Amino acid sequence: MNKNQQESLARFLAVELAANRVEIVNAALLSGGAVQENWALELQVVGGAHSGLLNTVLRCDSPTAGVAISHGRAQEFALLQTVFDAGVTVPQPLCLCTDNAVFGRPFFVMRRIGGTAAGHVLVKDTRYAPDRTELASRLGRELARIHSVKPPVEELGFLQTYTDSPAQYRINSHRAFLDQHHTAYPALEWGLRWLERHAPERGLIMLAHGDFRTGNYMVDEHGLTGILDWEFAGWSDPLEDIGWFCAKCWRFGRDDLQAGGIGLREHFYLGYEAESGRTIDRDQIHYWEVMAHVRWAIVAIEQAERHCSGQENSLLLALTGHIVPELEWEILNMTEHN
Amino acid sequence: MREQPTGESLLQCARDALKNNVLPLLKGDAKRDVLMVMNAMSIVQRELQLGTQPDESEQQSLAVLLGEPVFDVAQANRDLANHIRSGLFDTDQAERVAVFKHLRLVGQNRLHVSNPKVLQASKS
Repeated sequence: MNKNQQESLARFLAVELAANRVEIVNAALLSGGAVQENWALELQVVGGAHSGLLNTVLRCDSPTAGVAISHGRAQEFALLQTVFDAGVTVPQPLCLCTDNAVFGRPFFVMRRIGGTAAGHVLVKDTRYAPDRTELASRLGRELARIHSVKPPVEELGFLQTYTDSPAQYRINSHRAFLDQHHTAYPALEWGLRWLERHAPERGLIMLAHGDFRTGNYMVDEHGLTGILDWEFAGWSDPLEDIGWFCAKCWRFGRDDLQAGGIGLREHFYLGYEAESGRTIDRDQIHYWEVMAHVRWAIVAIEQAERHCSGQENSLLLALTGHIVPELEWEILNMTEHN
Repeated sequence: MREQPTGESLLQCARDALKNNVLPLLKGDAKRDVLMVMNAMSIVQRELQLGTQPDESEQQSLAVLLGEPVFDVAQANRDLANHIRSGLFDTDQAERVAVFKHLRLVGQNRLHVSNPKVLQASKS
């Protein structure tokens, strides 16, 4: 980030934060990918509601990202704002800029939160969020708050709507992926057929996070600091998020702790029920856990294909392909008897 | 004639060197990367060990299931996938069991390469 960018940014932030003056004390690149960049911005704010030292993160498209995805930041900001207003613990969104004159690319700024998100660390190291009963229940309450957002929401007009049941909608999109892929996956077809035969009808439709699992929230030594990774959010059956969170494939080896490898299912469910006022139909969760395994398998094939097609040379993506047999095995285990 | 050691035992030796001499010196992202490299080496090693046996067993099992000789495994899998999707095996219990047995066999073959720990876990 050069000096011109910093100065221009500081002027923009002063206006947006209704401050007399903003100084960028420090700007450090946290992570730079093919699609997005995250900058840690330490701000000295003079005047206004945020007066004082303010730790923020600036999220923008990477310099090489195409025009097609530049809407991404505005949508992400709208989602963050919506769930923040609904009382979900997320990094507070502060301002959005779609005028390229300011920074050269669209960006938004949010408060910086601390802690770790690494799933494999979290399931083992109880120095993070030591009270795991509380963490499981808290995550249930957070999810219920996400699900309190119901369509239509004007600001979320970019989210796809559909008339099918959410289950059938998923099944159709997974099949569409498999149809254009070069290799057939009979075991996944088996799972998809099972899902189709048992698909619940369209019922409640709510804002679903779409990737609500251990690894996508942050905790520090006191507990939860924020829910992250909103790029898969969409309208769905609320049970889909619950099944995704509890599915065996997202427990990071802690199969005894069925709520995301960090707690007991019942604690998670009770937190959700207390916040939402709705009872979770426990018999329906198995269905959505099968769905979770099928969906993760499809995503894993997609990720491996990014490597195999030559688009992106990555050992991580390459190895992700080798997760598929394990997911298929679990799908067979879960669908053998009916 | 090929030089000794074979690719498979060379991989084992290289992996041991990484594990014993390099891994203990590493932390953070570098450690994670080397663990991924070791995992990749294990997968290749198991693939070499098993040779063409998994492909042959898949081909045979598909032929039994579809009731005709299979020359193109990829096409046979597409056919099987279509049959499953169209509901051909929904009702007949004997057919369901046969398809399931086939999927287990192929799944097991692939796990022997990708992640044999899963099979040990489901035995215990």
